[in-house]
Amino acid sequence: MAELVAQGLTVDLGGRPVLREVSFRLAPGEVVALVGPNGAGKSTLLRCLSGTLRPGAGEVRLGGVPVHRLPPAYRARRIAVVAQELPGGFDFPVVEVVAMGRYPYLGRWRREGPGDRAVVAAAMAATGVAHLAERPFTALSGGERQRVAIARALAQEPEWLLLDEPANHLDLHHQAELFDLLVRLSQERGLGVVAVLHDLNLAALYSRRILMLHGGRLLADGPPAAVLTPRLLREVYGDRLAVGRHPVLDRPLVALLPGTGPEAVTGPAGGLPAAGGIGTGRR
Amino acid sequence: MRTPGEKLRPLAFLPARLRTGLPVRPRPQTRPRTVLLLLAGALVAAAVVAAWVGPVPVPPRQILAGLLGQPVPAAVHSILWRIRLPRILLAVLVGGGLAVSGAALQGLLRNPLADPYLLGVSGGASVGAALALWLDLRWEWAGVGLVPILAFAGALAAVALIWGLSRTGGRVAASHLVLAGVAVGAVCAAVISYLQSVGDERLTKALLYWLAGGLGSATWQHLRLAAPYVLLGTAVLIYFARDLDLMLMGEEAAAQAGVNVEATKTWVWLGASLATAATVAVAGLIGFVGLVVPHILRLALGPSHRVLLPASALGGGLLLLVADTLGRSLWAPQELPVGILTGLMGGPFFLWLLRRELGRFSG
Repeated sequence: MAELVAQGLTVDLGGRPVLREVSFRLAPGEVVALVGPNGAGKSTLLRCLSGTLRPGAGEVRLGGVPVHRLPPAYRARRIAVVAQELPGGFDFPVVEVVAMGRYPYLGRWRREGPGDRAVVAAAMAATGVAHLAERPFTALSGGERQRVAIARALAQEPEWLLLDEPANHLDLHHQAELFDLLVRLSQERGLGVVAVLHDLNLAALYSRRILMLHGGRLLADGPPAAVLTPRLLREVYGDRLAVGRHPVLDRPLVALLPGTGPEAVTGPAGGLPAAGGIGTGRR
Repeated sequence: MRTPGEKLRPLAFLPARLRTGLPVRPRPQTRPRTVLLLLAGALVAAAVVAAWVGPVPVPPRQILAGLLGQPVPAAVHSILWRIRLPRILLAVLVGGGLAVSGAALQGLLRNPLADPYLLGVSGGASVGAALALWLDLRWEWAGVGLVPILAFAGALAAVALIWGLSRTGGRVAASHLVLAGVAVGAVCAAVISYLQSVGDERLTKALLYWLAGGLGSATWQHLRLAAPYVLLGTAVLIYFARDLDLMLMGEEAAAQAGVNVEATKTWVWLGASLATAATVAVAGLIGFVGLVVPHILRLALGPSHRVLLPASALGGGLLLLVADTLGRSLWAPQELPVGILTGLMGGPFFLWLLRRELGRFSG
């Protein structure tokens, strides 16, 4: 179990600055949410953390060693990635897609042994895709693919799991299942989790720590209550958000304010703004 | 992508209770080992038939006797050992080499329409062969004429050129390889056309014959020239089978799952180039084996390269051996170059493939 440390990460893509001097230190087993508006650099930061992208300046260290220097198979045993989309252009059955997570543990010629199969089965059971085992990956829905991708990453038995918008494609039930699972793995096995999230409430509910990126800079880094403040949210997302408290838990709850103003939304026509109301609404 | 409803419509007469739970597209049930054994058996059977048929039929009993060194008529011995056996082995070697290269490239490029001649070796080899035919020297090296040697050299030069052109900052983009291959191929085709337009009739005819691809001049020397490279290339490709499986998820996902992506690209590219170059050098251009065989086998066996690559080697050898035997016996004593026959069979198949499969990989 090792710390994941980002130090002065600076990335330019196509001449455009994407990350600027981003530094932080993640303790083993931490569950961290990475939030920020579109184009803030979240996915780029995740690619740096996984060693996929080498930053122009600064570096990411895992247990003191720069991640881009780790041999690919060794790195894959310690860091697993769930990208936004696992391309579906192939007809492997689900169980074989998940079994690909065992690649970094297998020699050239060795087939998966009983131990590997047990890990694969456990990963599929944990993400609720065991019943899909024999189905072709290409025949799955978006949400099912997402859970298979997560099962494959868990089969790598990593110390760190990096997820790019894992809640995409998932209904609320499966979102809750997934994050319950991630928190449980963090507590029981010390799995560190870094998840890019658009849903600030998921971030507030499940992470102890939120990193907020804005324009490539790390604007805030702390517990949900310290990051999801009206002042910071206004700076990052504009004045469309209100912050309250979760009805049950001691966590912040972020609510979206429609641009048409409250009176238009609560109007007579079943809550829908009247025609022409979108442009004329009061901020 | 097909939706479950589309696929299940033919079963609409069944009660809903029976229809639900049917797999959308059932996993191929064929066991890989069974298919490999079947292919190997068919290959042996085809080889027996290929040794048997011809102007002088050699029945199986004599084939066996001849192979085991038991006394057979001198003419039979000569036909078997000097003509049919090298030709059979060369057909299997060339077909297998092309098919295994095609299968690996299709996986590497994640494109079911990739063909080993995409590598650019065909253009380079053609120019080399044309040069040799134009020089028309009575020169031999280890029993092999100038044409295969220069074709092999030309193929390797083209591969090196394409590799150099596609490499930027220590990395190679698969799409660059394809584009550079097309560009080099176009230049080579222009050179060939030029030679054909200025050359005499003898050169034009010889070149045309060579380009059509055939095994008519197969000798043990050809076999000795090509076999090491084809076998080495095939071994390299099979060595990277598991990596190719993961590469199907895309380069970035493969790298994150532990694959050394740059090494895989380099070695698969080089292995396929080497194997293809050697086959082109000894047999000319034989189209569509490298495209058709992996594709049929992928439909039957699924996409896993650990099975697909060995099966392609066997299946490619089988297809080319059958095609060559047909080509030399259908219009006997006239001989149809096997490259023409595979082109005739492969063209329509290619069109069918385009219509059926093109949408699926882009998903």
